[in-house]
Amino acid sequence: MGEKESDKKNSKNGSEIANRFMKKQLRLFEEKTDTAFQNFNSHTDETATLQSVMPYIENLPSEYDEVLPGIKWGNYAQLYTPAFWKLQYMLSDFSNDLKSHRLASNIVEEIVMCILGGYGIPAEMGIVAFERMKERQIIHKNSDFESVFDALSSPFHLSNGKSVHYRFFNQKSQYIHKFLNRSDLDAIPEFDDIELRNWLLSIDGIGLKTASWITRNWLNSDNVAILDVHLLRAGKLAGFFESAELSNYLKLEEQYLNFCCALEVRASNLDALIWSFMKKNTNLAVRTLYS
Amino acid sequence: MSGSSGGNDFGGGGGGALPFNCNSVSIRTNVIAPDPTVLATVNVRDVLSITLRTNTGPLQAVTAGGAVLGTVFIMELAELIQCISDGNSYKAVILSIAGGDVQIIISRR
Repeated sequence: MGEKESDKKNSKNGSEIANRFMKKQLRLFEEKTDTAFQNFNSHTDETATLQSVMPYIENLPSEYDEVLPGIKWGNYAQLYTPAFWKLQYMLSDFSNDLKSHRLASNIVEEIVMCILGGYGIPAEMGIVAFERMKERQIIHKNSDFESVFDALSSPFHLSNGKSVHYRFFNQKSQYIHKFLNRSDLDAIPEFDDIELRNWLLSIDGIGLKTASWITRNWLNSDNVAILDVHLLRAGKLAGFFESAELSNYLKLEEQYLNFCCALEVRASNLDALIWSFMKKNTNLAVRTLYS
Repeated sequence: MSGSSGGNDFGGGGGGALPFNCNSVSIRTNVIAPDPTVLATVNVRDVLSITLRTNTGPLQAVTAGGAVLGTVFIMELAELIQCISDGNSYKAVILSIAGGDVQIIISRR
């Protein structure tokens, strides 16, 4: 066999191999796409949902327009932009004005619940501590210190078999006991939000954040903001908090309320929506802020 | 206020829904506002890449040639963005094209 003939044969073999390879790749590709086709019924079908979302998307302002001086609406599909929050708000049940944020059945219980939550206490821990206090029927006027202390200092047995302790049980027992022994529990100004918040600030262990939390919950108030770590992060990412003012609660609150006003959403509900979203996606928010 | 987790509404978050699994993503949806020029170059069964325009979105459907067909919006947007940030990559197969309506199915590569 001559060299040229051999080359020709090799070349033919080579092209056959390449052909076979191509055909195999094509078959694999077709199998993959066919699998996608065949299985689509078992997938999450969001086509109808998207159709119902489209009118909201189409009504959003241009991403290049300003929602507030210096702050653009941004893209609705980009996390943390004003447009994103507006769309999330419209799609959530928070857009329903009838939604209540109350955690308890009366204002005294609501205050105890929020004292139990707050700084350094995971939300879930606050709930189980509150449930125990309710079960033991110790949330009432003139409750004694020992009952409150015992309820908070004894370990909590979770459904997963783990046993956990409530942090700051001594300090919180003192706060709650002192609160439940106030002489003016029948005169809590529970019908005016700013009056209520100011009154709450006279309780030991309650600062502006917790006072605002109780006020928002109890009265669905749109005149206060619960400036916790999640709202602060969201504000920095969306641009409605000026970092220079991060220590000034009332100034930040004003900025948040202005933002809600510009978005035409209820401050009470957006706060709850942002908190829920940011808590669920904490890692992503932290990564975005500090990367 | 760092470290605070006291927050707010205690009710939010899931209501028993299964956690999002980066490995078993399978979502059928539509490309929003497909670019007509790019649309003219794609066909049913074409495989697109799902990419991020910035670290926080939006998600985009991109052709093999690198052209952006359009935006992809899903209900669990943050979860999918988190999966991509964690190093997972996703593709979208075009299921149908009807006028400007492009239906895709998103899955992990």
